[in-house]
Amino acid sequence: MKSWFSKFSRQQAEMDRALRAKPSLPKPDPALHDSIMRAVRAAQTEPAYAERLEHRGWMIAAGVTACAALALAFVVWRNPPTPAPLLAQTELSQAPGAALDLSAQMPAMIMAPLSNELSRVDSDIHRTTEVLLASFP
Amino acid sequence: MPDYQSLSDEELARQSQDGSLVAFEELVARYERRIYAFVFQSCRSDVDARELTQDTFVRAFQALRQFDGRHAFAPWLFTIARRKCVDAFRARRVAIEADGSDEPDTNDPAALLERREESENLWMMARRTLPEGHYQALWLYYVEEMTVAQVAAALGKTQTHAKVMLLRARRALGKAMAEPAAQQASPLPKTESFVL
Repeated sequence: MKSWFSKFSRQQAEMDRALRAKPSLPKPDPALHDSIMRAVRAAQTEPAYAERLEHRGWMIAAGVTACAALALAFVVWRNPPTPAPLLAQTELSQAPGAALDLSAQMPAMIMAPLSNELSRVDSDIHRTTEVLLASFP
Repeated sequence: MPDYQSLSDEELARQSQDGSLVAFEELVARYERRIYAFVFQSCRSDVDARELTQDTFVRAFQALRQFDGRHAFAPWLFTIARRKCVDAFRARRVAIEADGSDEPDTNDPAALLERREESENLWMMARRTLPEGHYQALWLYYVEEMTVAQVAAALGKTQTHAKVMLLRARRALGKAMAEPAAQQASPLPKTESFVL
């Protein structure tokens, strides 16, 4: 464990040192500065237009949301939730069979969620390890 | 006439908020090359990078009122640049899906030669092998020399997430360096995982 950790720490330090050697930055066209400032000045003259557009966008979004909420309320009002139907006689007679089937399927039903849980725990451990290693100075 | 060159980024941003275009121009002068280099890593095209750089500064100018002077200016500006890259990437993906003709020729001798040269450069290898978000985290941390907190702010992540991204990026890069042959077989940068 100790050797693994020292190897990890050495590798990280080497990589850190290598990455600190900066790449040569690409040089932009000297005309870029003027081009940016021209665009900024153009934007400066029409801030009100941009604000108006933004405001209009919010108004449309609010309107759409209100319409959706009204439509949902209307649907719920027209179709109130129906109570669950009473268990029919025939279904009662099938209950013992269903219980037997259920018992046959029991291991798979129990094991499936458990194996999911195990993989989640495994993934959690992996992430926790990463967080701990990432916090390593 | 104030000496703008001696002012901090945050002070220049505050003066820009008050309407000083000269202060904003000083910010442009300080950051245009850095922003250009950052966005160039995403689009790999001079024309696109220039356009994205210009869009970034125009957006920053329009959104200056939202800048909080108590925080550093650089992460705020790089956040805008990153969002511009994401927008451009999405637009390009839609165009490629519609066109379907942008597949690179992996047997092109020039491309093969380029890949061989790239494998000699750590940063080019990082560009080729790492997902966009991890590459940007590395770039901001090592090239822009931001703190983890600033990287996290620029990427819109928590500090822990940013630390994990940096760790994953370094480990993936170390692994890629150990397997140069495997890298040769990977012709495309992993731009599909732009948004984490």
